[in-house]
Amino acid sequence: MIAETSVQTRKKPRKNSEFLRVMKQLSRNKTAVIGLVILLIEIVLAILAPYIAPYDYTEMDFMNMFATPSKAHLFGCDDLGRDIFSRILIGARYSLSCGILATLIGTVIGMAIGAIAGFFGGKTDNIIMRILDVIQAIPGMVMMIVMSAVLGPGFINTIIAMAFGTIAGMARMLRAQMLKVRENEYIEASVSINCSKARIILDHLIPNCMSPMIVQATMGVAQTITTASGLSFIGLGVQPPAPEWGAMLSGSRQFIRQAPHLVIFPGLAIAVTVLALNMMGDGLRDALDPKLKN
Amino acid sequence: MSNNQEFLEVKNLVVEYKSDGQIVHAVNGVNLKLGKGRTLGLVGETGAGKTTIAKSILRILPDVGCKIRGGEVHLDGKDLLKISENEMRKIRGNNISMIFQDPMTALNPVMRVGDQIAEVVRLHNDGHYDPRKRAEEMLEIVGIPAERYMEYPHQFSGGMKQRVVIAIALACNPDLLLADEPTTALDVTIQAQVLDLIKDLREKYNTAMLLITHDMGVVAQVCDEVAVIYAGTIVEYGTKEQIFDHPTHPYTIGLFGAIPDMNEDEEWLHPIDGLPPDPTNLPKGCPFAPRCKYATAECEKGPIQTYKTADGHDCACCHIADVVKGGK
Repeated sequence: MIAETSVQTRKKPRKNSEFLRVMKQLSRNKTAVIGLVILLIEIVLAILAPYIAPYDYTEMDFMNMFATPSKAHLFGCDDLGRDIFSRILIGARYSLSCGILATLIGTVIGMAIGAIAGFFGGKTDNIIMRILDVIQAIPGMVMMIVMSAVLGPGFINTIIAMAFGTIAGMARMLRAQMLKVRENEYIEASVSINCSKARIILDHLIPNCMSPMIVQATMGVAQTITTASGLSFIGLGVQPPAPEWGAMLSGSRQFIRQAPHLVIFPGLAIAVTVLALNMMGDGLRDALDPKLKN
Repeated sequence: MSNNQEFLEVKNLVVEYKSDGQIVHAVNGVNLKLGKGRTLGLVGETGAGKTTIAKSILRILPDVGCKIRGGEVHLDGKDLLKISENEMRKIRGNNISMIFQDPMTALNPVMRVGDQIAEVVRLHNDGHYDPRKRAEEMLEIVGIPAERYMEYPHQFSGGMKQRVVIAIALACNPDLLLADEPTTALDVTIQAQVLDLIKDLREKYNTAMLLITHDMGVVAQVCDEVAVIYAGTIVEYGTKEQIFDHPTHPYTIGLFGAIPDMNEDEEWLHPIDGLPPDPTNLPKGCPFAPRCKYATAECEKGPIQTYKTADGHDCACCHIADVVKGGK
C-alpha cells in the first residue's frame, strides 16, 4: 500500500494550491464574494479614474452649478459646477489608499508591539501596555485631530495620523491573543525542538493569532476611511481641491437642504465601501482558517 | 554496564515553583540513572513532579516563577544545567527530544504536519538531510503515507497526531527521548499501537527513553527500570521485575493494591487513603508518612534514607522489614 501511494504524483506546488484553496473557500461564501466584487470594482475604477472620468475633477462649469443628476452629469454637479461622478472616481484613489495604507502600517507596527508585549510578558509587557493605556485614554478622534494638527494637513500626514490611531488597538488585541495561544502545548513543543524566539513568534504564535486580527484589520480599513473622511470634513485631512470623499461631504454641507445630492453621493460611496469591506472581512477570516477547510 | 549506566544521570535535582508568594516544592532531590538504549519508567500520581523532572532535563521550564534550586543533569558526561543556553539549544530536539502528553494540542493547528516535522530537521540541519525528504521519510516510518505531508493536524485522528508528534521527536535520531504520558490522551487500542511504535523505533535507533506515566500497565509493557515518585522524591527504584514482583515501599504497594483484580469479583476499589501532601508545606520526614499504615514517630523525624534491598533496587523507607512482612 505504501509503495502504491508513493507512486502517485505529488500535489501541486504549495503556494499555488494554498492561494487556490483560500479563493475556493472564499467563493463559497456569497456575502464575502459580493463584498470582494464591490471592492475590486472600486479599486479598478480608482486606478482607471483619469481615463473613465467624463470630466476633469477640477473643471468648473458655472452654467451647471447644483445641477441635478442627468445624462450629462451622472451624479449631478456641485456648488462650483464640478461633475460629482468624476470627483467620486478620483476621490476613490484618496479614500481607498488612505484607508488601506493607514490600516496596514498601523497593523504591522501594532502587531510588532503586541507580539513583544505578549511574548516577553512581565516588565516589558507592563511598560508597553501602560504606554498604550495612556494613548488609548485619549478619544480616538481627538487623538487624530491632534496628530493631524501637529503634522499639518495633507494626504501623507493623514495616513500617518490614522496609522498611529490604529496601533494601540491592534497591539492590545494581538497581545491578548498571544497570551492565550502561548499557553498551548505546541508552543512548549516548539521550544523543546529548539526554535528561536523569533521563530516561535513569527512561525508559531502569530499565525495562530491571525483570525481575529484579519477581521479587525478589514473592519479597521472601513473605520479608517470614515475617520479620514471625518478629518477631511473638519478640514484637517486631504485638502481641497483634492476630491476626498469626506472632504466632498464637508465642502457641500451648507447646501444639504437645497441640493442634497451633493452630500448623498459621496456619503453613499463611503457607505458602500465600508459595507463591502465588512462583508469581505468575515469571509476572509473563515477562508484563511485551515481548521474550517472542507 | 557501568559506563552505559551513566549516559543520563540526574543527581539531587531540586526544583521549586513560586506561586502567590508561596514556594511549591515540586522536585526534592531526585536521583536517576539511565543507560544507553534503556527505558526508565517514571511513575507517580498527578502533581508528583514527573513532568517537572523531564522539563528540567530539557531546560524548558517556564522562566517566570520557576527555579532549578540545585542538582546536576549529566548527559554523556556533560552537565546540562551548567552549559550555556546556546549549547543547550544544540541539544534540544537533536540529542534530547520530548513527546508531549496531548497530541491534540502539541501540534500547531495552522501549520502543515509535514512542515512541522521538517522544522526540527531544518533547525538542526548539518547538511545531511533534505528537511522535506526527511519529513516524508519520518511520516512513512510512523505509518502515515507521505502524501499527507500537506495536510493540517485537524485532518488527523488522535492516534495519527501522536504519530506525528513521535515523528517530530525522532526526526533527528535523538539519544534520549522524554515521553511525557504519550498515551494518556489516547484510547486503549491506539495506546497499544503507539507504544509498539515507540518500542520498535527505540530498538531500531537504540534510543534511551524516560517514560513518564501513571499507568502501571504501560510500564509493564515498555520499561526496563522503574522509579516510583511521590511528592517530588523517588520512593522506590528498581528494575521492572523487582518493582512488580517485590514492591517494598508502602506507596508502591498501595499503587498496586489500587489496581482492581480482574479475576475476582471486587465490589470496592482499594485506593490509598488520604491525599498527597501540600507541596507548599511538605512534612519534614517521609512525605508519605501521613498516609502510611506503617508510619511511626521515626518516619516524621527527618529526611528518609534510601536503603538497598537488592542489587539495583532502592527503597526510601525506614520500615522495609515490616512492610515486606506485612505487605504480603
